[in-house]
Parts: sequence; C-alpha cells; structure tokens
Amino acid sequence: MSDTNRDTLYELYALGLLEDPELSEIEAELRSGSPAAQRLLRQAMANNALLSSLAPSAEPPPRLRRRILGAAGVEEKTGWTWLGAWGLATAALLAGFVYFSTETTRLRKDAFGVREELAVTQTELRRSQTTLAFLRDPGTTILKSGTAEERQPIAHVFVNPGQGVLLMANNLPRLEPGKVFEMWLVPKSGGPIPAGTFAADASGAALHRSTDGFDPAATAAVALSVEPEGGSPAPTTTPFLITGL
Amino acid sequence: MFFFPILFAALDSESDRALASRLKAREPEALREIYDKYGRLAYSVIFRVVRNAAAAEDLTQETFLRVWNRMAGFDVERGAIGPWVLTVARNRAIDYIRSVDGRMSQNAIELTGAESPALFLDMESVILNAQRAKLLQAAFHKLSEQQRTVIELAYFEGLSQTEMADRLSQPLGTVKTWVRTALRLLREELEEPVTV
Repeated sequence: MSDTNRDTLYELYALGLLEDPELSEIEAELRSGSPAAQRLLRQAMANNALLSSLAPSAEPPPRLRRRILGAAGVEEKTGWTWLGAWGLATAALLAGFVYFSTETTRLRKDAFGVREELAVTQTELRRSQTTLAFLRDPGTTILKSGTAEERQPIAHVFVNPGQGVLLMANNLPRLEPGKVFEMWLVPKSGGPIPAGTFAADASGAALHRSTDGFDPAATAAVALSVEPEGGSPAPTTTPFLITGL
Repeated sequence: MFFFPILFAALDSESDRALASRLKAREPEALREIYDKYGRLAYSVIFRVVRNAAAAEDLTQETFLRVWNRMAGFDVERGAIGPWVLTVARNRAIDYIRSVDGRMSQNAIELTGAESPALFLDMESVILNAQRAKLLQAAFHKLSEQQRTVIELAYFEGLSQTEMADRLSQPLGTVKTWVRTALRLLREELEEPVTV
C-alpha cells in the first residue's frame, strides 16, 4: 500500500468513515503503539480540524459567553469595581453579597454537575441501545464460560458474524491499580488477537464489545486476561476465562 | 463568508500554550480568553452542523465546559488546544444530530474517544494557519460537485459512506471513490508539509 493510500486511510478513520477490513487494520496498527501510526492519525486529526474552516461564519449571541462562564462557575466581568470607589458600602451589604454569591456559585456548580450527569446518562443510553440492537440481531448466538458458583468469574459471550463479539462478565476479580482486563480472540491457528481492554464495576460486572474483524470460522475461542493499563499485544498473564466457539 | 482569516490568523502556538497552561491551572480569566478566541469558530462549526441557533448555543456551552473540565488530561507542552476545541465542537454537534435523527451507526459511540487530548499532541502551528485554510478553501472549490458534497456530508453531517450512498442514491463504490479522491486532492493541494 502506498503512503498516499495510508494517508487517506487515516483520514477516513479520523472522519469515522473507514469500514472493515481496513478499519480493523488501522485499529490494530494504533493498538500496537506504532509511532508511525500515531503520527498519521495526528496528521489526519489536524486535517480534520482544518476542514472546520469550510463552515460559514456565524455570530454567537453575546448571552452565550455569560452562560458558559456562569455554568463553569466563573463570574462574568461586570462593573463591580465601582464598589471600591464607594468604600465597599456597608459590612451588611458585603456579607449579603458574599452569601448570595456563594449560593449562586453553588447552584451553578450543581447545574454543571447535572449537565455532566445528563451527558454521561445519554452516552450510557446510546451504548445500551447499541448493545440491545446487537443482542436482538438474528445472527447473534450466545456462548458461556465459567461456573454459576458464587463469586466465581462467569462470562456470557455473544457472537455475531457481522457485528463482532459482546462479552458480559460477572464476578470478575478486583484489579490492582494500573491493571485492566483484556479480551482476546483466539484463532484456530496463530497467537491470540487483542480485542480491547476494559474495567469492571465495583460488583465485578463488565460489558465489553469488539467490532474488530471478527471471523467466527477462523476463531476458536474468546479469552480474558489481566494486563497492564493500555493493554498488551500478547497475553502476559494466563487467561482466566476461555469461552470456546 | 468563511471565518478562516479571522480564526486561523489568531492561532499562535506560543500564546495557545500559555493559554492552555492557565486553563489547566483553572484560572477563570483563561476560560474567558479561550471563549473569546475560539467561541465564534466553535459556534460556526456547530451551527453549520445543527442549523439551529438554540441547539448551537447549548452545544457550544457543552464544548467549552467539556474542555474546561478535561484540561487535567491535556499536555500543555505538546498539545494543540485549537484543533482540540474544534474537534470537540464538531463531535458534540454530530452526536446531537445523530441523536435527533435516531442514527446509531457504530461510529456514533466512538466520537468521545476521538476527542482525547492525547490525539492533539505535537501539532505545530503550521497545521492551522490562515495560509493553509486559504489553500484548503481553494482546493475545496476545485473539487467536483460530488466530491464537495461527500466531504461536507462526512464532516458536517457525520454520515457514513453507506448513508451517503443512500442519501445520494449512488452505488457505495462510487461514493467511496469520490471520498478518497477528494481527500487525496485536498491533501495534495496543501502545499506546506504538515509537521507532526
């Protein structure tokens, strides 16, 4: 593949336009930590940002600046400095100002927190909808590994030839800081292929999906191991859950 | 009218570095400054995508709050804050129209990852400046109408190539050719090499 084609592939990837099998190829390069791949991605991201110059100029309303500063708990510059000239008025006025200012800041911070919470909830909702669509697909089949015994790791693996692999795990062990779980696609021949890292919640439950070039005919199993944060190109610990296809 | 002469002339890596450093220290004045520097640009990109003033205001607010709140992960020495802000703005807008349209492509859940500050390291000021923006404008207008359309559908509407083929009633292979040719031509027209 020529350099020009590689540039184009990374630009397509940065625009969210790349599809398999090229998508899997680029994601594998990026996962490998290759400096050349990182450089091409940054160049593509920069070109993306330059495309923003194609947007016609639009003038935001002046109130937007106040809204943003207020939502971040930053006061808009106003004419409060005249207070200095008036000797800061009376102590009672100052106390009242401090009280209401503190209260306003608190309320703004609350509002900011609610917005962040809403954004997280919306992201979770989209993720859930995507997962549900995967599970509803007629091409999805379910596999299971582990035992139902209390506190023993157990995994339900859903595979779909067109949409990849979805892992639902429970009773996963607590990890030391700097460690993550990594999913592997074990081919019928060759070494395990990284399929993404993830963390479990406080109860040991986790949901992880990989859409990278999954070929059920060439895959023997799906495995799970503990790896350093950022993932590994090959397992560095013995997989503790292996689900055969 | 395009905003690039105003916007990109203002993109100065040294001053942006200082600004990023003050944002990271959560100086209130720095938030005012970054809004004054990039607010109009971000709003223009968002408005072009959502075509609704009220939604554009909400999304511009979300963009700057997100940047303000995530500065801890930004590398002040190597990061390019302008491209980051514009990428966050574009992604918030695309995410919004996907939600409104009920479009749930696989890419829809990937946008947040595409905003990671780590993707905006080591971009020199040459990447975003008035000259390159003008070159891109000129190159864009040299493209065929179909090539311009697919680039706009990709960048400003977040459509996948399959969705573009449906929208334009064209074979997928034809759309892919238009997209790849357009990207190649745009890159070739940008005379200055991009230093990353």
